[in-house]
Amino acid sequence: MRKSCLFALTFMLATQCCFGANYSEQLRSAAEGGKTTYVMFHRGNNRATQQMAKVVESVVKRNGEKSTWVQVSLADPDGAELVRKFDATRIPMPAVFGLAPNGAVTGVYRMKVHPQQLQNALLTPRHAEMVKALQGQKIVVAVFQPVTGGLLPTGVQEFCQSADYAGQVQLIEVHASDAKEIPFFNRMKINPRLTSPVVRLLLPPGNHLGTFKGNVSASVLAEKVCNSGKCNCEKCQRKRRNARR
Amino acid sequence: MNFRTLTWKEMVRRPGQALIALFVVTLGVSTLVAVDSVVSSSQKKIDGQMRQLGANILVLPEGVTLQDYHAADSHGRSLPEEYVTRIALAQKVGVEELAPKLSVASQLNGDSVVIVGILPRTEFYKKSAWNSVDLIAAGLNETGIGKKHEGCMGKSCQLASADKTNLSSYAQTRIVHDLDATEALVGSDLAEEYQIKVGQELQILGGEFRVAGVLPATGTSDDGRVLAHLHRVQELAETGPVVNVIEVVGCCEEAAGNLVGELDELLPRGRVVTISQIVESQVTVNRLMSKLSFALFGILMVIGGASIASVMFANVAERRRELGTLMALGATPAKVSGLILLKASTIGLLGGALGLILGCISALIVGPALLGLPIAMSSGMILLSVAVAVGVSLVASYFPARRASRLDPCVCFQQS
Repeated sequence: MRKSCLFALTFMLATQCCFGANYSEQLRSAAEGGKTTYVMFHRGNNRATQQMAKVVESVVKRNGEKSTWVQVSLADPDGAELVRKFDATRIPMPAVFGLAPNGAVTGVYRMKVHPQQLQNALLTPRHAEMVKALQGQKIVVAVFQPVTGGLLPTGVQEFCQSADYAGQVQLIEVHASDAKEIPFFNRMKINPRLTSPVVRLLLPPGNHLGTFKGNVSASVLAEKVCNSGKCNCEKCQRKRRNARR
Repeated sequence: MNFRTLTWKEMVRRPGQALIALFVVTLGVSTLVAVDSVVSSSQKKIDGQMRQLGANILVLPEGVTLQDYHAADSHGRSLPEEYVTRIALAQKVGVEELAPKLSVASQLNGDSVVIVGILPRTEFYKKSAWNSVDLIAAGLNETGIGKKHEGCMGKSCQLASADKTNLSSYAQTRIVHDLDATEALVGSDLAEEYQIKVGQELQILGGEFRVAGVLPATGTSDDGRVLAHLHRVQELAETGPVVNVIEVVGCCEEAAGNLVGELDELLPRGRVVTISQIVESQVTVNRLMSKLSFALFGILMVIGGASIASVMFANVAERRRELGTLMALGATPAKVSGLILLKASTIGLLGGALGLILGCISALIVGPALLGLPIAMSSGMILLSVAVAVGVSLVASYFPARRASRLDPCVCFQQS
């Protein structure tokens, strides 16, 4: 009982501090420092809010150099912009968003959150770039390159520059030599000791279409997108029009 | 004087008997034609609506019963819009589109009009994309977009084709891809009535809207409505973040399978209803009406047949002298029975025709007035009902005709 009262008091003080703060400034400075920000929205200091705050705080403490957090009450006028941006009045509360330095949303957890989920919301820069591209409704071709060598596969280049997909595709290239990106390799289940490029094809918002070797041709990639039934190339549009007739 | 003249004169001379039989046959045929026309038109309407419907699952507030799919947002109760976010974030396989709606009564040029708040597809794209990291992690072990079977669209994907982004696609899909908060779509009837054109400014709920499109006619209540961004409608109507209904376009197999249960679990305080349930109940009512109309037709035909038989027996008894004379003059038994059967078939044919006319008129009045259905007559049913009416009349007159053919002219004259 005493413990929870103490926590509530701490929470209220923390919230009070945040209420007066300029949230945009906090987010900007976190992004500049390469930190992921957990933005926690809540309606009031209820049990669920306290529990979530406790979890977020513990994760931030553990990853101090990588993350920070802010709490935003829906009733706080200073937080109105953030509330509007994340449509927080229309989400079950409390809810916590993970925000990568590049602005990509790395996770949203409502009502309750597990420390591992928040941990998963910490992304490497290339991973965050990929997520941002998917959130921008782009097809992502992620090319995982070995430590040495690693020219961009021709098929990938052709696919990205093809008339059907140029402008719709985001190429993400990541090298195993970049130690910071090793967690990205692991998260994508690719052995960082690879000897030749591995290509992963993803559709927004995060549908995995396939994994290919570096010698994959542009037509194979295009076929995969077409077969997903979601493709917008001229051929697929014509096919859909004919099917409707 | 031929048989036809004889039959006609006979019917005119004894109209009472003929009219009773005619009335019963007419009643039977008209009942069948009217009910069957309404039922088959209702069935056609359901089929058409099913084809036009985008959504096949509805999430309604607790306690709301649904009679009309197109009026699913007109019950006045609401559920929190956060339910929409829950569905969008859950990324269930089989949920292809979402369309929450909020209906608010308003005024346009002093007349009552309903403005419906709708949420464009881009809003869901934004929200479901917040889960990209988890989606990628969950999907790495499988490839594709979670298609489970032929026709399944799998998980929602955010590559929107040009036909989806066209504003007028709302008429078919009931979903718009993108809609600015200051824009509105206007139903065809409303646009025609108020001469509303694209680009025109409308003042509704105290807010200004630019008409972004006039929707093609859908034959639904949407034709008389204004559609605008849900959040703007909520703001102007001061309702808070609520909706009246969430329409879900679910893959058919999933909608009939686990998806409803999964949505039920996700939205414990909402009522998840599938269109198949609604359609099924409507189809059941139609089938029942159809069976009842056939039963009623059968009963009336039995009564009609009995009535015709009784009329014909009495007729044969009354006309013994006339029939005896005919036979004495050389009429064969077959001709005499033919005379009786001709009268019966005339009653059947007349009753059938009258019943048909009455039935059609009833259907044309009852259908649009009570059920709001445009009625189309079924030619098959028309032919069947008339054929059955004539057949019943002939069968019912068989024994009276046989008795007439066996009359002995001498005995007839003796008795008379």
